[in-house]
Amino acid sequence: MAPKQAKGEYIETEAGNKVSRRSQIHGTTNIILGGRTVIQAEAVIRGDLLRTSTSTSSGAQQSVASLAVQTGKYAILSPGCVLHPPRKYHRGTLSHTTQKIGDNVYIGPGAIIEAATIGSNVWIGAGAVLGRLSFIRDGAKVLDGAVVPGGMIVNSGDIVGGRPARKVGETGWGDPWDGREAWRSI
Amino acid sequence: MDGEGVAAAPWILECQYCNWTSLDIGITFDKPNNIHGQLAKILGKARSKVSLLLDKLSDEPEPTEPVKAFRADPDSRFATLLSFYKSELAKENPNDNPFASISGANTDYSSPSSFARIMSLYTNTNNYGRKASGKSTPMRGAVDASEGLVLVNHLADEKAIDILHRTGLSQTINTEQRIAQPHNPRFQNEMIPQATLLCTKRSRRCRTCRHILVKPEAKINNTRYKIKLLALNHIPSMTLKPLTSLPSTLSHLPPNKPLQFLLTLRNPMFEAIKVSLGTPAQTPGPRAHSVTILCPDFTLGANADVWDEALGIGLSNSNQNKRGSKLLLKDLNNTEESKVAEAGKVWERGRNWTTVVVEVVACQSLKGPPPPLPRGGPPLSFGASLEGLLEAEDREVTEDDDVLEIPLFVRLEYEQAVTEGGSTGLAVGNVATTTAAGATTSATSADGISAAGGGEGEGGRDGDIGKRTRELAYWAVLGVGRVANPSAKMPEQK
Repeated sequence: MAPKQAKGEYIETEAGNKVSRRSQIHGTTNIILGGRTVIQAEAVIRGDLLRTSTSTSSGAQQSVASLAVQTGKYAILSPGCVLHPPRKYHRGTLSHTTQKIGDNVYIGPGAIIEAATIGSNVWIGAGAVLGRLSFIRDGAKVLDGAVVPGGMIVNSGDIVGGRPARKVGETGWGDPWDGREAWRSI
Repeated sequence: MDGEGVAAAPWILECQYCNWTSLDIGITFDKPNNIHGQLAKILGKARSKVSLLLDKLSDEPEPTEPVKAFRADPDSRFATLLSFYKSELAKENPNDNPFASISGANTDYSSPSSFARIMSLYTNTNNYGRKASGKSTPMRGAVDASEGLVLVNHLADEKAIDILHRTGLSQTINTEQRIAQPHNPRFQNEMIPQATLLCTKRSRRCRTCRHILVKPEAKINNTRYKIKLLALNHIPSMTLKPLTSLPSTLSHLPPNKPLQFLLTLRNPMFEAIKVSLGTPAQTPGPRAHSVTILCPDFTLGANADVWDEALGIGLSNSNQNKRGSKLLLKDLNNTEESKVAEAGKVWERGRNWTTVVVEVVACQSLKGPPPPLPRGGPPLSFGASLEGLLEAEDREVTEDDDVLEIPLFVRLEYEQAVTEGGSTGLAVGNVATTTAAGATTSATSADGISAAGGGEGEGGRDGDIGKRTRELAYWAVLGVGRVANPSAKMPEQK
């Protein structure tokens, strides 16, 4: 965790979200933070990458579901991580789908997230790369530096690591990681 | 891997990590779902064509390498041989055929009829037994590939050698890959995609009392547990943090200097616990760090409901909480005073937690030839001491030699109300301890928690709610950090 910055580093919203002034957030209107979410310095959220629809005959690009990134409660985004809604080729054109992140999710520093869904109580290590349209189910753990290939589904409670990521173990029955303390300490 | 395509027929499997596609082995799919079924169909088609020989004769296009290799797998050969012998036996004596009940390749060894047949071979003498006493008629064996005979193919061997000459070992597969494939391939282009294994949800019972300790929800999507009785929830949780903010991070502990850490034990149970901690004076392992717990014996107050805590009920009544309130006042008085760690005194105490000071002198040099046996402390019957001995035997400097870990013997004593239902299901083998020092996390197995909790009298069994003393002892490992290496440069202080 980064050393505590000088006062005023974080902007705290009504819902308890703490957003660093030094984070880069694009397309703020398309992002929903579930409350008590921490976005640390130099984290990047690409809310501008929306689903583009070509269904309208006029050809005007129109966002159908104007949601790019959605997080749950107590999501901790460490410094330098990147949330990037997954790219998708739909009928030959490039589009993006909504990225959903559950509660109590820790995303390590420098991780690059292009996963479609991250469940609750997920721990993602530093420098991990989650490929496009990968799914991380509840309670899973991605080790530091792991590269999860696009489209991979990490089952709930699995620990994956390596390049490419493979299952290396299970998280067991202990109480899952809780973001409450991390949120309080920032 | 992922199905990829432009919403029209042929679909392929693609790995987005290494850019392998199923086109590389000449397999395409007609629809994007049920990949496993389609794959089985593609390979199963190969199986039904009894043999390699017949494939060559048929006017189908030449099958691709993996499909060809797959056709020679033991299963299909067995199926071919089985059908051959079945037909031969039927020719010999059509009305008395022990294999008649077996239907081709779909031999089901677990089916009751098969089982009955096999058992009757051994027990009954009226049917098969009599036949065995009779003269057996000679039967011919398989003579060609259509009957399941496979000759050693020198050409294939030469071809394999040729490929090795041309490409070297880079095209061969490793053991892990070979085990995962059912048909024993040699080269990478002979492998076929394998379906991922399904997950299982497991529940767990206590070995002694058969009590279910862990039981997952029956619903597939739900990852919660219906029952979760972990030993971890019945023993005090431990956290370790430096007493004074160390000059550097915990990954660079200064050696040969007494360092003080705060060890906090938090009681999750609703009974007060007497705790005795023990540690070897010098840690086992490649480096003998000396460890002293300044106050090894203390008590932990009982836990209370979260609501009680929030409403402040717990602090006003009951005898042991009186102490809690007194302490709270004391804490208020000297919150900011600089305290000095004293031997035999508890550092800080809360309602259900106690903090004691642990003094560690990190050692830099490796141990001498005879491993110093721990003086004092509890006898080291645990694996740690054994490891230490073994390591001293043939010591090699490894990457994690500089990790400072403290083995800790924890003995708990508490009084528990005896209810008619008997004991709680506290009997799980593994205890994991995590330090909050942020440095390292370590886990250890403390086998025999259930065995150690044996000091319980059968006193209060007379219907009334009595109290009985329970005793629990286990080993835990505290991960502290890494000792700084003098050769490596220290990180700059901030």
